[in-house]
Amino acid sequence: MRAAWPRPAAQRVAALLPTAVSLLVVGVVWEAWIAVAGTPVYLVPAPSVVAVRMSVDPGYFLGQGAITLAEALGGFLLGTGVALSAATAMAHSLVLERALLPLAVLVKVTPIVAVAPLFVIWFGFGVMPKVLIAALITFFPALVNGVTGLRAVNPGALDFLRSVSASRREVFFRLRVPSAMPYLFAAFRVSIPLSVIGAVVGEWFSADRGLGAVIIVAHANLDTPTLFGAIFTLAVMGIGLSLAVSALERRILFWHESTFIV
Amino acid sequence: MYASVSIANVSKTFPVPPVAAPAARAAGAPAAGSAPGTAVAAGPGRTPGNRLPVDDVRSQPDTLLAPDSAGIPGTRGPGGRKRSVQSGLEALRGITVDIRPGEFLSVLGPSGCGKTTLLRIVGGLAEPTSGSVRIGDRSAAEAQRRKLIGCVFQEPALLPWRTVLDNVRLPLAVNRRVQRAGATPPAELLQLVRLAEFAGYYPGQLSRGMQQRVGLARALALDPALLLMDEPFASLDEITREQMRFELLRIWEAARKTVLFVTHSIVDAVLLSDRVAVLSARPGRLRAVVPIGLERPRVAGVEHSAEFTSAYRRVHDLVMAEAC
Ligand SMILES: Nc1ncnc2c1ncn2[C@@H]1O[C@H](COP(=O)(O)OP(=O)(O)O)[C@@H](O)[C@H]1O
Ligand SMILES: [Mg+2]
Repeated sequence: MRAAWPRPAAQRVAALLPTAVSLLVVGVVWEAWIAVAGTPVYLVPAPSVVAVRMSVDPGYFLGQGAITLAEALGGFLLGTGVALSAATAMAHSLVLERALLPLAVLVKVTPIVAVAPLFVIWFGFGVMPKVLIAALITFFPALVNGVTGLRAVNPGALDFLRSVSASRREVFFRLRVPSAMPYLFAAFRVSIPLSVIGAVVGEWFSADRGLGAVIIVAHANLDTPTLFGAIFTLAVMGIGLSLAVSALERRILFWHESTFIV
Repeated sequence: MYASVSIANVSKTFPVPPVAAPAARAAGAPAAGSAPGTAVAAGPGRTPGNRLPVDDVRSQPDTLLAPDSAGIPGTRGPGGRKRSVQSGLEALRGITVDIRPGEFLSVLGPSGCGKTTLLRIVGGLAEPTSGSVRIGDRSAAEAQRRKLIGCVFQEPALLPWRTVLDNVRLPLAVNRRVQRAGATPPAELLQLVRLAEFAGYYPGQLSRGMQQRVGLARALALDPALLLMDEPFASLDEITREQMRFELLRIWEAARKTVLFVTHSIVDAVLLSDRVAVLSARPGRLRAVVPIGLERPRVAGVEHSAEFTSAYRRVHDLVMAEAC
């Protein structure tokens, strides 16, 4: 006999209804506004025009989107992996934290668009620079929240584990890592969309493939329907990734206090 | 198997860090260990090397502890040398008390008198500045390594991602090299604390009092020779608290342990204990050890008996005389 979570599917669908309605309203108003004002298509295409452009060649947007998605995810995994390793070391050592945190802050405050061209010079025109830029942009949130989270243990639980002679390793895996999860997911919700931005920015500077490249080319040709198609694909990608993170969070953080507040 | 506990002349002074550099304390005094998040460096298995034999401690002049210069670094100790380490916040001074095997002993004192500090020292979670603790014929750290100690804290401090049953299993799952033969199975412990049907629940789905009972079952999972309880009822409402007292008595009758029970509640102390050790306000000093002659088993209603009232009054007067 357990409480019924995760929430029933019907309830979750119902929760999405307001979002769907508001999106629909925006679409309709946009369409009507273009029709009434007679805005030329090279400035702003109507949603229907974008929809036609995308349905004519869905494979194109899917294919280019897949490339950008792969770069973003690769960067996310790389950046998060490195960040969490560093966070583990820093959470255990104040000296390391003092040594590494300023470097991380330096990385963070440097605008990503400023280093992107440099990465292209260093790492060529392949997938590499895009992944690295996406990794760079996702690094900091995971690092900071990782350090905070690994330290945010219940002192009583820590005392208890020590009182039954748990090793440092056991304290880490049984207490610190689970305690860090809420913090990590807070970071992921920020860094997952950031990773897409990183990949797109990377593609701008060495444009041959991916949605970033599509945008650059469409922009040069004043092909706004294609440009909007790319933007729309990116938006859908961002939403999908965020939903995936939320779904994972619900599964992993089922125990969190917020779950029990109805 | 119960352990006797011998607390011999235990004192504790916390080094108080210079105000300007709070981080320095986190790095420099991991053994204090109770500041959340800074205890990382203090693994188990610390060396008990800084524990002094009792006689050495007695020969040390009291002035070393510089109680009146709390927080001021650079106080001069004997010989004119700067002894900044010795100044600090004196929490406990010269506590000496023996707990007999199977005895229920309460430590009673006002908030901030060092009760938690004493309990952590006995549990091997903190080092005394001087003095020693023996559990049976072992040091506190050694007893902890052998999983001879069960702890219940003021906060239930359960792991919210584990079910009730898995929380009770935790002590068995941790450090498997040390196993305790003859320990009661976790499911039976849940029956003992009357939570059998909540085995699959998560802590967030339980009331505070239920969580505290899970904490008690968890502490009993290793069949510890010594049970340490730090104000386990302090965060409960009066009604639950009263029920929990008799629950604890019932459980203790069923699974007799040596218990060191810390509380600021006179009723808790008198109702539960064989003896009550009364501490003074900070720095905690032992003022009296009062035997409680109430017959066992003690059941609901005993708190209205004349014997209870007279024992209560005796402890009450001692505590209040100390507080004024
Ligand atoms: N880790 C610590 N560092 C510095 N001072 C501490 C620490 N732990 C406790 N103290 C101080 O020691 C005194 C006794 O604390 P504690 O043992 O928690 O009291 P009690 O449990 O009786 O309320 C308090 O004044 C408290 O501020
Ligand atoms: Mg306390």
